[in-house]
Amino acid sequence: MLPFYISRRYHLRRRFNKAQSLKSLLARPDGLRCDSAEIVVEILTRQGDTRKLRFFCDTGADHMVIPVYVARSEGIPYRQDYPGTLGSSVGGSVPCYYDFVEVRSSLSGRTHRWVCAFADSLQARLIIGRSGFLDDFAVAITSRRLIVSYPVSLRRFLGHHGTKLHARARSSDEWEPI
Amino acid sequence: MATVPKTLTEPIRVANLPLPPDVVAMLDRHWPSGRHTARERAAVEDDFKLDYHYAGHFIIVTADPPGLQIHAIDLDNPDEVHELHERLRAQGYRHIISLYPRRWDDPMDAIVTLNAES
Repeated sequence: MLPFYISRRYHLRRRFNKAQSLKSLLARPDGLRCDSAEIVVEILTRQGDTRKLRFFCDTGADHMVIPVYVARSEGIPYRQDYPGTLGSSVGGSVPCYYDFVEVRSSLSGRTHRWVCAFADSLQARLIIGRSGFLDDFAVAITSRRLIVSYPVSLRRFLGHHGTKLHARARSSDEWEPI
Repeated sequence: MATVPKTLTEPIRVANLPLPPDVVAMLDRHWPSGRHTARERAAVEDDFKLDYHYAGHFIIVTADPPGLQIHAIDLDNPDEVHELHERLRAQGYRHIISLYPRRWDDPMDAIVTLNAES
């Protein structure tokens, strides 16, 4: 049987690296254009509701990363039973706690349980890495868009596209969580 | 710039926030009018405005029509955040997003990959 996929498309966010030497190298005042892939992800809280947070997609990262200060203010539960250390690819490290997070997805219609490192650093970003995300979704970057897809039944595929056609005037997927 | 956690009595419309002239000039160089729809351009501008005005802060925004609106800045009590979400949902907002903007031109922010060391 043919696979059917439903997808969400996210424009890459406009980014420039403005390091002085890059500007000099390129002879451009704006520096190096390096747009980033970011998506909204819906995370379950300890109160049983969800928070929608924007994550930076980093296929170089093994797993999801949420800074501890974000988890605390958002009410995202984590245990301190599995401490560890996160290292950046160019040196430097921060303490963290490993645990699971529950991700609710309207694209898959499921709740996913992914490993996450809760980073004890004010500098850490919200990162979605390979583990979990790339296991459960098909992901591609093309024409300056990140496309996240999920395989579904023919019935769900037709229902999804029927709804989209019906709501053609609706905004793009930019703020829709996966 | 707000430094005290607060829920706003009136939301701030991001479209009404100013952008500095050098950022506008940069956007004009990279996204000249005519090659993008007004909506696409507005979305890019909104993104830069959030980063320019709220880098380093935690903001709660709604992304429903009539566009991005900021409802709270730097709330750090999860109960207050929960209460605000409930209220915004009751008002009919569908997309309530927590954002942590960062300076878009910070070169120190370039390489972020973090992986388990231990």
